[in-house]
Amino acid sequence: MARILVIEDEDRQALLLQRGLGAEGHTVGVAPDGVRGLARAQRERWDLLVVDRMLPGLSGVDLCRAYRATGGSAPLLFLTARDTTADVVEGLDAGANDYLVKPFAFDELCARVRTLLRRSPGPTGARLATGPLVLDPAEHRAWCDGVELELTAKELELLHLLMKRSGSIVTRDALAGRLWDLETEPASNALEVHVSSLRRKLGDHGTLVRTVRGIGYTLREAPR
Amino acid sequence: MTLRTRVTAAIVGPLVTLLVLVLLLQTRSVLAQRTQDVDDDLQTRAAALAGHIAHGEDGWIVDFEGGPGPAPEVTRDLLAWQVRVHPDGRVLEEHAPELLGKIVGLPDPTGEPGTWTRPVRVGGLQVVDRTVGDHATRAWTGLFLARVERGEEEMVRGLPPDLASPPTLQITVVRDLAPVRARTRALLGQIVLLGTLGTLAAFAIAQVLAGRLVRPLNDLARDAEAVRLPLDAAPLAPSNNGDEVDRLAHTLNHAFQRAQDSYARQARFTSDASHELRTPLSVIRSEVEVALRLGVADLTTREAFESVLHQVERMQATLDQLLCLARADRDGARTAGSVDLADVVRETVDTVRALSPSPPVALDVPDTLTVPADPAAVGMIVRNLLDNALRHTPSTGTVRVSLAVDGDSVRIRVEDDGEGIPAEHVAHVFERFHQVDPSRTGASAGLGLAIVETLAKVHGGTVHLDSEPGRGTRVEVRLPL
Repeated sequence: MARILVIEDEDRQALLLQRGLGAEGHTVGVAPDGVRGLARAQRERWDLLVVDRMLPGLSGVDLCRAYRATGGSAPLLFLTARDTTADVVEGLDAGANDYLVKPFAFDELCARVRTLLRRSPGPTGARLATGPLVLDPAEHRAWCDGVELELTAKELELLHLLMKRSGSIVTRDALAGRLWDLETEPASNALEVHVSSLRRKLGDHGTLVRTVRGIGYTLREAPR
Repeated sequence: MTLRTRVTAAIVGPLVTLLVLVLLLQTRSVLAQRTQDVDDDLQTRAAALAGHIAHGEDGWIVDFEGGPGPAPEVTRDLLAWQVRVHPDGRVLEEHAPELLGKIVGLPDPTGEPGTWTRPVRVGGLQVVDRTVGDHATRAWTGLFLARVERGEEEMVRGLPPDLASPPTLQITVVRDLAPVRARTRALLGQIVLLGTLGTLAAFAIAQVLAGRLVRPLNDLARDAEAVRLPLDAAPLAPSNNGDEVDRLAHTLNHAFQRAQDSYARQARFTSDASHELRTPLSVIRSEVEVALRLGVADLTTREAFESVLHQVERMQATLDQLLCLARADRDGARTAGSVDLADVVRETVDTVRALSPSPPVALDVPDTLTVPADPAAVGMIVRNLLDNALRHTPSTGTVRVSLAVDGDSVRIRVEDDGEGIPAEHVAHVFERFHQVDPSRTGASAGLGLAIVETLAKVHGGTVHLDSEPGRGTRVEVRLPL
């Protein structure tokens, strides 16, 4: 199905990831450290990178930065034993799309992998679709289950940003930076207010917009 | 007692004692001088009366020039007076005898021959203070020789040349003491006023001095209270002038640095421990899960694997909670940003509902409610409260979650109508690893409420728990806005 590169220094963990994801039908490559992992990531074509945050040689964050800096576009999922907000935000800011704290449930890993693989960046201006949601950036219109949504400009922009990176976590700073100029600092809870009203307008599908506590938001279908 | 008060007392004490001592001595001397003045005045007046003795046709008389009757300038201010002649004690002249009191006859000292230039007090003295009617009086009695040198022009008037010597006179004069006493009282009042003003002035000066002395200490204390770990550079700015306050600042900086070192060690330990424990746990979990996914034919092996997985999940939950507590203990009151509490509550409830649809959870939250708190921490608080309520409520019961602003704080309330907590356990439910029913295994490690309390406290909040066995439990967390 998809080509996934696992960069993980713990042999057994790497092997289990390879075996488990392989059983899902993916082709899985393994690299045991950051330097070799980065080389393989750049040399071959991958649909997804699964990267341990703590790697010998080159840390996961540095690897991610280097990969993105050289034009690497495959979605990247961090596996991390460190789950503090600062750790996670650092990883996401380096260009990661999602993170999973060790020890993780394999079911959840598979669900995240599926979401990240489904993600369709698409050229700007093209219609975006996630689950029941459809958004047309050119016409500034959005639909849910085929019913057109009445959104304010800010809500539409917010939905657009989340749909463009559907499945990935978008940090609060990234959202606020796009929704407001740096000069017009919004009230501290302005983002929450817009997210809250967007959810209300999505009705039953409001839960698609998920809060990643302390970090940001993501557009993702509920796990399990 | 503050240092400022102590320093003030140390300055004011001796100063005021000294002041009072000086004023008391001054008062004593003033009072003594007043008495002396009164007696001197009485003696002068008595002597003046003695100067008016004359020898008339019928013997000795008091001759006020210009006829009989008292001369104003001599007897002015005297309430009463009397002139008697020794040795027979005949009263020559008196005024207001009812005010004289009892006059004791003084022994005649027998004037020695000599040269007398004016009436001179020769001996005997009696001073009597008494109150007559409204008057406080002093009666002064003395003996005088009324004689001047024979042969001079100024002789005793009318004295025949053949008379050997003039007599000794016993003169009593009485004065009203009221005006003197009034002046004394006024003077004492002034002294008391002076003492009071002096004390106040001493107090004010001491306050200023003590304030000046204590201010650098207060500034240092305020700065030290504001210090939070982790430190940025040296937390306190010493004056480097070598005084005691400067030394204290250096000492405090040193202590803060040591705390910082131990803080860093603790942080590294927590981080290392989480990594070292989670990495193998992750391998174990993946091992079991991948094996189960790939298919385990043998039923016994499958059961064993499922049991391992269950225990790993338990261990993982406890590890997460321990790390959460360790971080809360370490990071203290650091609040990272703000969080929409309404969103946290809604999402936590959604997640929990997805996992276990019963008992139902009734939700009462506003659209948005932003609080200054660490998002991960409030998520943990809500999740633990909800897990706890659900675990102790039968599927036929109800769990109610409400969120509201109450004064200057936010109130998160989770109540259930479940089994409740026996009274003897209520006091202990916030202790770490406390289990209400130790025979129940697998449920939890007994850290949930400890975490709630710790996290609430580091945010400056409180937790309150009410429970009635058989009726249910209500937990309220209050966080400052």
